[in-house]
Amino acid sequence: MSRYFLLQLRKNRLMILGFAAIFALSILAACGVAYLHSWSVKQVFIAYGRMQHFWLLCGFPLAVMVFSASAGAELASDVNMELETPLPVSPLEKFWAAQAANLVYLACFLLVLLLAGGQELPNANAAAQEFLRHSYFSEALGILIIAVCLCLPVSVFTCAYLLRNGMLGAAAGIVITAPAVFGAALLEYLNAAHGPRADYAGWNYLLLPLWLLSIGAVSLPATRLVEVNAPKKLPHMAAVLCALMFGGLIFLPPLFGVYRNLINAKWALNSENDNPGDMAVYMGNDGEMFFATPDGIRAMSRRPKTAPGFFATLLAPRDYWWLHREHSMIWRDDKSFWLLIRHYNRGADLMLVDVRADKLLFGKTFPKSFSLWKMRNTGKKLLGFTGEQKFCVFDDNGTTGKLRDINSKEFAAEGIAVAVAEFKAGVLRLDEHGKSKIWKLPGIITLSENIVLARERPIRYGLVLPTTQDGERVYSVPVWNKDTGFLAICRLDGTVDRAPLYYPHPVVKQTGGFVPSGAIWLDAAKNFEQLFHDKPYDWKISADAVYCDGRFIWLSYQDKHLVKADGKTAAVVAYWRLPALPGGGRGWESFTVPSRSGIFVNRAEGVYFVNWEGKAKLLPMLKN
Amino acid sequence: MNSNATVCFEGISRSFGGHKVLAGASGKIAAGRVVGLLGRNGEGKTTLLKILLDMLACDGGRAVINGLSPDGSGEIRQHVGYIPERPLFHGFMTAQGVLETRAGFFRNWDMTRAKALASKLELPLGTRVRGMSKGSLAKLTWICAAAHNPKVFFLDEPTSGLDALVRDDILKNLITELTGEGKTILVTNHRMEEMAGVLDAVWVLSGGAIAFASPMEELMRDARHIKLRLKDGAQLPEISGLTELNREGGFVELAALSGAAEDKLRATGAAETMETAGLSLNKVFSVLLKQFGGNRHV
Repeated sequence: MSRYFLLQLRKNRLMILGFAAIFALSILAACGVAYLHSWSVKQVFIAYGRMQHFWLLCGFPLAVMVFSASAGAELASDVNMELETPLPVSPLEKFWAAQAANLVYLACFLLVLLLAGGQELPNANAAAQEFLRHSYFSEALGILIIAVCLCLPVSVFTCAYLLRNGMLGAAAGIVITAPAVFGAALLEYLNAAHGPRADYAGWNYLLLPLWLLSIGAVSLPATRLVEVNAPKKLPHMAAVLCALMFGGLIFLPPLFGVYRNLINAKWALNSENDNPGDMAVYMGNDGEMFFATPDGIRAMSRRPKTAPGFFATLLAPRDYWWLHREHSMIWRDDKSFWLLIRHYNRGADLMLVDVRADKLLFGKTFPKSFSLWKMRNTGKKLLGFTGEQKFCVFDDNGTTGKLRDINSKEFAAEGIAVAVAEFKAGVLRLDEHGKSKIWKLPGIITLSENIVLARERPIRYGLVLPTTQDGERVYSVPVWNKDTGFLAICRLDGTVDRAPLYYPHPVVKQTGGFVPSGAIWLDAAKNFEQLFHDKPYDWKISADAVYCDGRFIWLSYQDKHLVKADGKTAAVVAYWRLPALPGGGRGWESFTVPSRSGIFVNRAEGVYFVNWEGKAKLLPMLKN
Repeated sequence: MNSNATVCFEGISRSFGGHKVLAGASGKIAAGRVVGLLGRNGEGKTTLLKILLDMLACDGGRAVINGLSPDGSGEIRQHVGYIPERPLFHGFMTAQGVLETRAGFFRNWDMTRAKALASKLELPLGTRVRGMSKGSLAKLTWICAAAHNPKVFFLDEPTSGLDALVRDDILKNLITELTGEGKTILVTNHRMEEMAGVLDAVWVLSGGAIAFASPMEELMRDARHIKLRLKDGAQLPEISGLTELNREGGFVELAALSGAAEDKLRATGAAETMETAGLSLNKVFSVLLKQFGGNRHV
């Protein structure tokens, strides 16, 4: 097959060269005319850009039609039959080799067009624009691109081959591809408007092989019809046309999923600690990074390198296990942040990104054996944890010490004084410099982000990492006593302060709820029920606590309302409708990022910033 | 199917639209034999060869060529040297390029042999195909058919349209050489007499089937050219196996392909005088076509 493929490339090289020459001449002509007309170099560049756009929008589809139609018709022509049938190659191999050669030439031509675009190539900013245009229309454009680049050439080639006529083949190819494109567009529209987007994502595993099978099924009767002039033409022809249409219909959605993966698979990075400013960071599967502030969004000019990389992202629909990753992010006071991304079965990337300087200060990849997945900031030291209950210490430039077992001695060896929390007894004990300090707390200590479990069974106690509060080292643990819970802040002088129990992202449900300063959020849920006419005890009734200023707590209720409630009584003080969710919110992947003065929410038209008084603003794209 | 035969086909049928070209054609060629396939235009000689070469699907029947059956894979063509009626090559290639391209497709391609054949046939390898004469194209076709050392050759009008010198080159240098090497050959030729001396048997394809098959030796031994003068008022009796070649008044020239027909003619007593002689090869083929190729049975 490879021999025949090479022969096809050789045979059809004149056509691609011809197109390339026409392209080059048209560019030269456009530039020449623009210069002669205006004597302005700027006009030349404008003309160049427009001509390149013309070629991308019109020239390439035309090339697809001409290349594919002529290659298909030529393969099936009488002259070619007489010429090449004596070769010991099966018609099926010839068909596939010629199809492949056609696609390769088209890909080359497209590459030439894109490379010739130079500054017109999609850059990070353009990608960011795409990010904002998370809408049905941009996705429909994706369908069209896929149809033009892949579905149309295959269909036109096959039809021209079957009909042994380039013109008829091109027309038939369009007729056959159109239902597939419209079908996929309709499916996507219905999906966007009425159903969860991810519903059919899992079917991609099945659809892609199905498409391959249908194309394979096409090729057999097609070559039988044309090459060996098989009898019973009508049934064969009907089978081929049906398979082509069916193939087009089933292969577009999964490929479309790939395209969508490119523009949609961006997630918000939630930090483990307080955001030093009003900022949200978004990251794409391919590593591109966007910084959102209340003023607007800008893309990081250089894309940090993270596995699995651009091509893996391109080829893999989102949410698949090999793209699965977890992140841990810790802001520093200077508006830089540490970001740790652990990839499924593949180690982790650690980077230090400076938002203000728009650059990556540090980047390092850890092997699978050093698969860090969480970071903690003790105030003085940054720690990394593995899933195997080991930890390491990062120094300021990100280099790491060796992995150590999680226990008090190892922490002490790193100069970190951890307190031991006895969960059931509600006792917190700190041994330091040969002295013990004990805090007796009124209730049971429960797990929280800054408690790590030692490598012991049964788990009776945990190790509490120190944190800093106003420059002072403290040990904070959540304490529960019946229905009441609070955050116990244990100070080195032996005192204990109570603070509202607030997590950046707990899901507050009517069935339990957490209790800031004694208020039971079950009541709040009832308030919401009255406010929003939701059914009680519906699992969907949930509210994400997004911010707490000590007196009030703000919640994102159902991703539809921003609710301001009294932190003590849970009474709703005010509420505002958040920007509308596309398609009623079903299937919408929502990212809510809290900051000090408001929250960032993503919607179809882009990212909004909503301040704590409910004022929403659609963020513009800023230039770097 | 006879497994000893190198070429064996049975019940091959094929229609184009409503027109049935082959209707149950069957035949066997033993290894090393050369068979001439006669038939009038449109009788399906090329169609039969293409079916045997796995280049065309048949409606029914089976075939085995050198142990392989046509299955759409083209594998048979690895083992058969084929001279098509109209040789064609990619015009942008030189003869050398054609040979190199083919070398990539045929597993047993012998470039040394290909170049030796080119030298023998005085074919310049640097010539571009689109500038080649018909004779040069024929020579290149022959080289392409023989360079992969096939055991079986299917030759479809191998000397058609060639001038005498090229024809002699091909006939003397190649066909004779191939028969000497014990290759199995099925050849169609409208001028089959050119093949004199190399044919082992002759078949006539008519009405979609092999209507006549005979070893060449037997055919030449039995074929008779009969000249007779009819008795006054006598009519030429209708005897099967006799073909009228010429008539002038009472003088009639006949051809008989078997001694039996001659004996029956004598027994009628219609001839006043009768002379018999051997029949030339040219006449034999002509008579064969007249007798068997004239009427379509389907």
